[in-house]
Parts: sequence; structure tokens; C-alpha cells
Amino acid sequence: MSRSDPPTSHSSVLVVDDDQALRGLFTTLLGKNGFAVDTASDGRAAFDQIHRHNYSVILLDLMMPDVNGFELLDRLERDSPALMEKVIVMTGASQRAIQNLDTSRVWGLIRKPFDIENLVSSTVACAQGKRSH
Amino acid sequence: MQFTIESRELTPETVKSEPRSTVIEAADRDAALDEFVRRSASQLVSFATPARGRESIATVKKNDSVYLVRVYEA
Repeated sequence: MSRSDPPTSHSSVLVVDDDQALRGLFTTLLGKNGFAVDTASDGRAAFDQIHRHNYSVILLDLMMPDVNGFELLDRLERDSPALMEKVIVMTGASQRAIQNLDTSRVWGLIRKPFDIENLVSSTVACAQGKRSH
Repeated sequence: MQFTIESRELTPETVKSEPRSTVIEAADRDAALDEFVRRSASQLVSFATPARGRESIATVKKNDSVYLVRVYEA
């Protein structure tokens, strides 16, 4: 786990992605926009962190080893359904691969490659409890 | 049209190293960026939509590194 600068105007974000380089990029982008950023490299580590911290937003990659994003979503829906509204799914997977993902269960879906402004504005809106649907 | 593509490696702390530049002939900035991604065997991660006449900013990933890329008319 790593944490960037302390929270300022916004809140804390958990970035769940198995790609270390992308975790670094998200930490940089969101840290510059006032978020405190924690990271996790798989769904199991994320699940532990989610129950230790009160995150405003969970940015979740789907394709990860061990406990992947789909499995984490299932666990959250079963154990902490209120947290589903704090999840933004980030994925570069094909439409076919995510055809069974019900995006109404989560705050939103952002496709990779992503528009930086869209990522930041979506994260801010999610942190503020605004609805995307 | 000719476009200059400038890339620097990004780390969580800072932008690392001197930029590397290359010039690419393309119809527009998006096509120039696509060609850069193809030539460098990298993967487009993110992009920022520029105001008219401004440079395009993107990030690409190659191996375990992320690079900040600027695209502007040469």
C-alpha cells in the first residue's frame, strides 16, 4: 500500500490495478487534483484496505490476477453494498469481456485509454456523491 | 503535415530525464499520436483534449514505464 499527499480539498481514493506503472500514473494525476491516493495491486489487498479506510472513491481495474475486479465487485455487493456507489470501473477490456458487467451496480465505467479530464471530473463527482446514471 | 512528438518518462514523483523528440508526418495530431504509438510499440493510456491550436497531451505505457507525450505542429 502507498499513500500520496494528505487529503486537501477532496477525499481519499483507492486505486486498484495490477499494473504498477498505471498505479503510479493514477497517483500522480489524482494527487495533483487534491486527492489522497492509496493503491492496491489486486482485489484481495483492496478488500482489506476498503475495510480499514473510508474511501470516497474506488477506481477498479477488472482484469487482475488472484482476486480480480469482478470478484471484488461480487464481494462488495454481498458484504458492503453501499460501497458499490463509490466504485468507478476502469477497463481496457473488450465489450465482449465486460458484457456481463451491470454498470448500474457501480458509479460508472471509464474505458482505457481514458480522457484525463473525464477521469478527474468523474472522480470528483463520485467523491461528492453525485450520481452518474 | 509534420508533428513533433516529445516524450519523457513519468514517475510518481516527477517527470524524469530529458525529452526525446521525433517528427512524424500525419494528417492531424491524433494520427501522429497513433503513428508514434505504433512505431514505439507502446500502448496509449490516457489523453487530454486540447483547446484549438494547443498541443495534445497523452500518456503511453511501454514495458513497466509510463511516458508523458506532447504532440504539436513541427
